[in-house]
Amino acid sequence: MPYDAAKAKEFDKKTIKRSVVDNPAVHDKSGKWIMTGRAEFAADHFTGHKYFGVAKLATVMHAKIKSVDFSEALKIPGVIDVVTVDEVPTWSDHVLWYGKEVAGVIADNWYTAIRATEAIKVEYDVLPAMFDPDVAIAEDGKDGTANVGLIDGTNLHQRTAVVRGGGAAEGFKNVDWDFTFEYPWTTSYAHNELEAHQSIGWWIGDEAYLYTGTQDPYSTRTSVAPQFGLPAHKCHVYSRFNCGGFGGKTDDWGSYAALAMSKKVGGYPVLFKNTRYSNVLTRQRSFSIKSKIRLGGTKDGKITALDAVFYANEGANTAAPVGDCIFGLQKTWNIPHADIKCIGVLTNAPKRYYWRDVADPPGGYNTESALEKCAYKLGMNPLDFRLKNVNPCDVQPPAAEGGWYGAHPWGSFVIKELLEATAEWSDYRKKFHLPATKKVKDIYPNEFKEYADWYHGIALTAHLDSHGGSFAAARGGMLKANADGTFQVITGSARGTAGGTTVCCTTVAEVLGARDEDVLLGDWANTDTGLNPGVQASSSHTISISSAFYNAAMEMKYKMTVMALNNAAMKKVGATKDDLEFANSTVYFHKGKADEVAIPFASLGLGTNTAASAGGADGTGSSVQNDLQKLLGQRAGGAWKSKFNEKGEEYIKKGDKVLANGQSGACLELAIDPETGVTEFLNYFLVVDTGCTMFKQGALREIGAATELIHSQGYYFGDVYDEETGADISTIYTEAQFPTYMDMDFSTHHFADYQSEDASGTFGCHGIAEPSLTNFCTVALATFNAIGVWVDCHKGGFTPDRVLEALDRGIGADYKALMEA
Amino acid sequence: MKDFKHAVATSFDEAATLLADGKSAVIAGGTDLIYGMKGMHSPNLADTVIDLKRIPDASYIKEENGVLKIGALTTLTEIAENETVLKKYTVLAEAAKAVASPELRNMGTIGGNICQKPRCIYYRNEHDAFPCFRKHSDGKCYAITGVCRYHSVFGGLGGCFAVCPSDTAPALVALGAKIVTTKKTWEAADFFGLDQKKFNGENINWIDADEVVKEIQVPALASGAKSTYKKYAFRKAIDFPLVSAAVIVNGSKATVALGGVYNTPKLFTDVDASDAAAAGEFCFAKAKAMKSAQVDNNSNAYKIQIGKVLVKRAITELK
Repeated sequence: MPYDAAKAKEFDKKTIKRSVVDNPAVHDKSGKWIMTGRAEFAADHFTGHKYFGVAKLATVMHAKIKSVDFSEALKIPGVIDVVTVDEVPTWSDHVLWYGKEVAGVIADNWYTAIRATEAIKVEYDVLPAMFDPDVAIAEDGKDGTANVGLIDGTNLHQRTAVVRGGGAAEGFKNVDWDFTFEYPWTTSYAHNELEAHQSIGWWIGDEAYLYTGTQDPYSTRTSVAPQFGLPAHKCHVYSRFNCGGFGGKTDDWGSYAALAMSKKVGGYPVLFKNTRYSNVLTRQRSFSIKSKIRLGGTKDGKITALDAVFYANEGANTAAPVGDCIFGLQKTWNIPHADIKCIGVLTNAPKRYYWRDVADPPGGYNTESALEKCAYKLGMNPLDFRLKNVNPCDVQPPAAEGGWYGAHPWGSFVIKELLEATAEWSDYRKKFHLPATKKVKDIYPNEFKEYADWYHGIALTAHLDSHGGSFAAARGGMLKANADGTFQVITGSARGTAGGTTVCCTTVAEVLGARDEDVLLGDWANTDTGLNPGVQASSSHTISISSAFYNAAMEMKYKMTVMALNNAAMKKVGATKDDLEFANSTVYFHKGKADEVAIPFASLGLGTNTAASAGGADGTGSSVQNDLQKLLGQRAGGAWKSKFNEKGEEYIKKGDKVLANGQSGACLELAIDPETGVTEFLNYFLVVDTGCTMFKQGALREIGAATELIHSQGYYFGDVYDEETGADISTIYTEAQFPTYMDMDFSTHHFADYQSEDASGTFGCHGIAEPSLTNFCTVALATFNAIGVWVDCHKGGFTPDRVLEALDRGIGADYKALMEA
Repeated sequence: MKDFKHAVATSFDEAATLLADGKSAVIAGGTDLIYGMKGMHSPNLADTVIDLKRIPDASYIKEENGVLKIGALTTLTEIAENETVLKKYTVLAEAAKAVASPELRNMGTIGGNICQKPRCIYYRNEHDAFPCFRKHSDGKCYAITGVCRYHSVFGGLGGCFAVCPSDTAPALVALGAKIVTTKKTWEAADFFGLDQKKFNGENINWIDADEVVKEIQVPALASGAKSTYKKYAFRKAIDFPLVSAAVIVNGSKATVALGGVYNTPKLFTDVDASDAAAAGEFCFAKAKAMKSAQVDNNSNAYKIQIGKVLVKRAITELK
């Protein structure tokens, strides 16, 4: 069933405000630039002469570098110099994974530098490697070879534990049912930008300059400057675009190398640039997860006890926030007695990080699968089971649970509402059936004829993401008006400029009635003229900063209204503010056609002194507001508040604490060919709480892009390593198989925003974050609902080979076994 | 990227002469050769790249005396969209259209498609990270001790389990096409070495190093015969066949050439088409799945099941 516009419209009247599908008003500047080749990434911009840097990568998993012979490399014409691991921060003579940097070359040509790395000869003292996380767990604590090599004496790096209500043991004393579910290691997914990482570093005196692909120039400065003994203000970071990918631009691997190499050649600019191969090897990817989840409860379906342990394979990354693995489980479900543990497992694999919630899409599947199984076992509709157990709105987290996010205020929490809204929009209750009992033709007698005899599956989940709507600082920036009638958006956030400008610029254009092309990027995201926007938190940031610019645009419009009314022509016709229309970069007077007056913005008398501030409310004493006040010399007194929610209410005041987590509900219908294991999506409904985000089109665009990418990447691929060498042999890079929009029919994807009533993010804006991540688990659950066998996420996605393997047990076999157990 | 010299050939014979040094390779669309050069896949990469694109009159599709003739430099898009090919040699048009993406089909040629390198995650690993014996005489097949998800289900030709990745190869084999080179005219089955007991270095065909494909000749299908090409790949766009079937049905008999399941196309003639499901079973009767040695729950058994269904559905559709 294609998108049902009539139904959506009807639903719009109730809760859903708008769907982005087929909405021509959604425009995307960055997409247009990228598609037409006009997008300039950070390293593209430095057109002057420069050198090129490339790293040589290890071909062993675990070793100490014994010697490096640069002699042949230095003979190659065009090679300027070489660097050792001692000269680049974060590089080391201790190789911990296949692909770690072991030396570098600086040359006058990128290809020359690549060829020169081939000529470098490295001798290793190879050490025992620990690639298999199960072996790392089993061997933990043993002497000698058992250790991965990162921390003396252990491979189990972090242990995060949450104990609630006296712990699980207390809860399990009095339960009517008690089920345990175990899941093997999920795959790891590349959290990878499409552009190979590149940074240009150079020095002027003792000050360092960087053009680099980063989501957060301020954090890059904070991490890079100390490595070179610099105070922060002597490290200047500029960024543009987010490298064409979905996140993953938060580490500064290339920045260190570019600056170190530049220093080696006297400060001359060096472009340190990955090959696609090295990009895959060296960039962070998500944890892989294995878990054991025990649930118990009462006959009416209430979960009263939880005992869960998650292991996270974090590769060779001692800084991995493994505690995030339990975030969704900890905070979404209202379970009075719980023990939840997360243990990080170090291995000789490339560094891994999180993809939110239970770390990655298939990780979230562990939790949701356990809930789904419980529901079936109890004879309950899985939606009813979730509604029975989800936290009610506005629950504050137990202070005792602490954790990385525990210190922050809770923010809005509307999972229950999202479950209900998603169910209503998708007609979940009407379409739901027990596993392996319906063909597509049973649900859709007149549609999807090509899949008529395929099995129909449906699942609905909701998810609280760990991204905040705003982190430690408000979103800030400036909107400047130029004398020629154009406007400049200025912000310190990479998400606030090109790539993320989409929402900021379009918001400004729409509020002011300016032509798109008249709203310019005031600057790159940078640490010199932009304001610290705080920790950049993925797409959450984009939306909240666009809301800030909405306010700035409203302030600008007020100023322009005053200017227009002071215009002689307007005075002559007696215009009032209610007579004015802002459109096409012109102010029109429309009170009677004959009297029409049109004043182009360029004739209004705008100038460089006309500026508006785009600040956000926050509760952490951010310097953004003060910075803005100093810069603009206005708005003294701190009247930082929003008047612009959709109800015209003022609801955020200066000093209000804000942290709104992204949350969403998702319902997936799919069809599975029992002969080939091929799956096709029929309908995917995603409802995301955007709080009081004003520019909903921008929010929905971000949501849509993220969902499509996750589905296409997560559905088809996972990382695969050669376990003997530790080399990545994923087809993502051996076959250039980054999935694209062409791989899925996104006309089956429907997005809608949900405006919760208790918005508490900046200007009422919730972070939309990465709502699609764990809704990936709807694929697992809908697949089970279709064919009654569990398709394991072990080492990959729900590809036909794995579906067929599960089907070897017979249609409905796992469901039958579950119910009989 | 490997350093290389560039030479331009103005005729196929001139290209063949330039190839005689044994350190050169020809380039037409460049969609496979340059990829390998950039990735430094092999120690045997060419020192000189010989451009065929300036050879005149090498791109054409015409019928002469009941034989379809296609110039080696004809693009896959041209073949996929040609009315004659679509109508009379449907399996070839569909196979050409199944290759990669529109951009790659616009660049890639039929000559290049049947001369591309094998498909294997180990063979294709950059910087020759896995020195397999397609590239090194003292190498080994890493699929046996590693991951075999994408590899052959009909055994390893000469010990190599890489598959023939060409979409057009099975179509040409099923059609009984001839391939005209600078040295001789090959039967397609011989060109791809269907009866060979070993592999030919890094090639998926058996032409000499100084031999260049000039033309494809396809005999007309028998009156009443119909054909189709079915392909399965994980991705819907820009992917090589994990399993494919070029199928021609003529009355109660079918000719089936499988792709993506063996080092060469796997040809079955005189298949009983009266029972489509049985035909699928017949074609894969001798297939045997591999189990990856390193990754749990990972095998290539799916190729057999999906292949059977592709054959069954193709025959059902054509009957």
